[in-house]
Amino acid sequence: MPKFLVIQAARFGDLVQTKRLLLSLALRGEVHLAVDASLVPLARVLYPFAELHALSVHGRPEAEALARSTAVLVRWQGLHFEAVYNCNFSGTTAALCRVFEVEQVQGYRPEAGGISRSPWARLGFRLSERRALATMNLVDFWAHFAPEPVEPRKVNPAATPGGRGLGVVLAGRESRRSLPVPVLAEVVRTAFGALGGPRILLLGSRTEQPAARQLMRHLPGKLLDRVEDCSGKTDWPALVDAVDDLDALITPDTGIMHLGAHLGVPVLGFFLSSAWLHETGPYGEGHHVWQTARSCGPCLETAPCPYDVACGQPLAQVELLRSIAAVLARLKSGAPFAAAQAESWPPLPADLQLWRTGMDALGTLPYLLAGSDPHARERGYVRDFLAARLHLSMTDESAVLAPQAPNLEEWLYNDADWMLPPGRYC
Amino acid sequence: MPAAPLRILVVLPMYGGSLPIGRYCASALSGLGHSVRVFEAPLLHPAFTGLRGLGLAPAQTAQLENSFLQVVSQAVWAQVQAQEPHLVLALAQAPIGRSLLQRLRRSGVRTAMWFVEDHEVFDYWKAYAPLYDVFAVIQKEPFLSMLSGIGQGNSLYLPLAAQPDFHKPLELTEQEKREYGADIGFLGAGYPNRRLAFRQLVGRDFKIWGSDWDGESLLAPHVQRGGARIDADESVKIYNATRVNLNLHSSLGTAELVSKGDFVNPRTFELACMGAFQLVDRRALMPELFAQDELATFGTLEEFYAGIEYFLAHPDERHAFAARARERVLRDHTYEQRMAALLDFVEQRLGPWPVELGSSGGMPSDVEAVLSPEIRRDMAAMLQGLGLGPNAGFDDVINALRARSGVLTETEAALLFLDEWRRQYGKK
Repeated sequence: MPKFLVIQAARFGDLVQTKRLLLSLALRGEVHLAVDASLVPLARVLYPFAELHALSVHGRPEAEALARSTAVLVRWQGLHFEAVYNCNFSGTTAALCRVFEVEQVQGYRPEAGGISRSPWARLGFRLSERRALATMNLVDFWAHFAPEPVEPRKVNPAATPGGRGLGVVLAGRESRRSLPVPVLAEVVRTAFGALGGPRILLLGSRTEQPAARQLMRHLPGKLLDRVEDCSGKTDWPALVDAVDDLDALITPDTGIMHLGAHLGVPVLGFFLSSAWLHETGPYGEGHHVWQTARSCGPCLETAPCPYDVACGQPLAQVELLRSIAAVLARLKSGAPFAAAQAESWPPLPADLQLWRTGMDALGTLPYLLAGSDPHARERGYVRDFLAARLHLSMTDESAVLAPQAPNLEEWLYNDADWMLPPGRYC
Repeated sequence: MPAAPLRILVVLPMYGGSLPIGRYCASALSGLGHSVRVFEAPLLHPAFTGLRGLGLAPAQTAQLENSFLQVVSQAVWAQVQAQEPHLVLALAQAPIGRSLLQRLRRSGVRTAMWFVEDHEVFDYWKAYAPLYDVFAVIQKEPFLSMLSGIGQGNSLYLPLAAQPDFHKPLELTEQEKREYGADIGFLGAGYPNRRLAFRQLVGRDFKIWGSDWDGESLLAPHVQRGGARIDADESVKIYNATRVNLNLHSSLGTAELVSKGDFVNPRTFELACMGAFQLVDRRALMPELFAQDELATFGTLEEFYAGIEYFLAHPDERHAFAARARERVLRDHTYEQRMAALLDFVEQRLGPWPVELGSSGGMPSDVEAVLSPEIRRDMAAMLQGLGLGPNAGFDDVINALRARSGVLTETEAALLFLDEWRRQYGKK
């Protein structure tokens, strides 16, 4: 049986988003997964079929950690992998891949003087040059590092309320991408009412404990009896258990959001600033995301915001609360969402959109329920382009509409890819 | 048919399957009497591989690749300036980028692409097709409508063909028959559908030629020369020496090994033109190109295997099919016919070819006045040597001479001298 190694040395959310690639390889052979040692307990729960390899890539270099990674390299040399999938454009994982023949490594390859990218990985980078127009979930991007990935619908269960209450994720790694606590308190109060007063679990790491306390100060007293503050109190398996079977999960773009999608918990996502639903939205059918859509977004996480995070303003409007109540009422009723797009949804402030996740042949695809999307045609065009590149047949006829944005062809169709030999890394 | 010979620049790709077709096009256009120059992009391919061999950082290599393509593009433009062609004909993957196509359009040079690829596999036509004046393809609907939808109103269905002076029956030596011959043979790349379909032929007198058969352990004993690429000259010998040539159109998928696609591949026409017997899978566009009794076909794997057995046992039927197929190709499917159809289409859609006074189609009066009888006599032979038709004009001769490398005869040098002399005195 062939052996495959997947190296995913990034964070919690990235590990969950590697699922489709891992499931695809598991159908063809024995899957080995290399992650940072801190994530091994989580990986064990998420991917029980994979043999795990603990790397030490997070934190400062230490002798013990180096010895651990070296031991991993020794082990790899004896395993004779058919292919190695390096998911990270990173010097550290590229260095680890030097123990393999270069042709064995897929995705990001170590080369003299740098890292070369597969044609597909290069395309992903090209899409990130015009993020507002691009549309490919990171789960699908990594999945296509390997040929013929598993069907998108087989990755995560469709979102279904589980009966165990409301989860509230307190913040992402970047506070700019999270709802301010007073706004979050209003969102929680609205959701609590719409769901008929369920228990509320506050989720996050130890870092989020002050935010948890702050949130509770903003919540009405009648809710506090139902609040259970789990922030900083769960290890990985306990976190998975806490999220499992929730009725809904209120969250910014976080690792816990991806965990919720992995478990089929309905996600109510709030994306602003650099967070972009079309790249890192929840994977699977039936999740809802409120995405801010100012012309300056999505922005770079690392760049200072010259507008004082103005994209957060539409999320502080009362229209958002009405929109949340409508989505949750529909979710609670159990009515099918098939015709959701055709229905009338409460209006949203300018620069705010409500999306619901669905599926096409390529993978997860968000559908707009409320608000306006000035880039719909371009995104349809890009989706069609990606499907053609992957030889997928798409049934969405919207893709044939003529896009409005200039230079789309120059952006997507690279002269070198057409005129020089295909399949080359650079 | 153009009234006068045209100057045509054929731009070849640097590598790949459309490269030999580009050469056949150039040869056919010359055969039609036009003045043809070929942009030899394959000459530049080693520069590309050399760049990659320098061991530079990937980011630098990527930048250099883009710069390299710009240089190639400039070289095409330089050739356009030198030849002043009536038409630039590009084959799929030819190194003509968007900016050069826009430049050619601004300059009034007509452009045509023969996209000899499957539009579903290569989607780049979406970006380039609207920039060509004419876009010829090997598939019909829905491709033609899709081209129209993106603004290419001058698309033409132009099926592939054969080159009779190259794809011809050969008398092989006994040694060649031993080397190339087999009951069953296949020449081509190891696409997934072929790998699976051919497994049942393991153990037979079966030779597989061509590349990309790595990792196919069952078929490995049948793969000749370790899967090395086979050049065009040898391919003619292989086809001629094989009793049953297999022609299974390629497919990336393995769900349907006989893919039932639309276009007919070049191998079909080439084998037919050689008078070599082939067993080919049926294609949607095949019935209008070949009659049922001209090609032995199959639609399923069962028919495929049964066909091999039947035709191995019935050599007379093999020969009859092969003879009828050859006759049909010579009558209807040569590259000269395709190129004539293309030029007619260009003229029909874009209007008559520009007439250049005192140029093509005759000798300017000042040239007529000074040519000696000896030079006139030598010119007839010279035209043939330059690949020009009998009606080539003085400018065509001069352009062809400028492009020729090596030592010239005294007549050729005298004509170049005359042209320079005329330029000096502002005759042009």
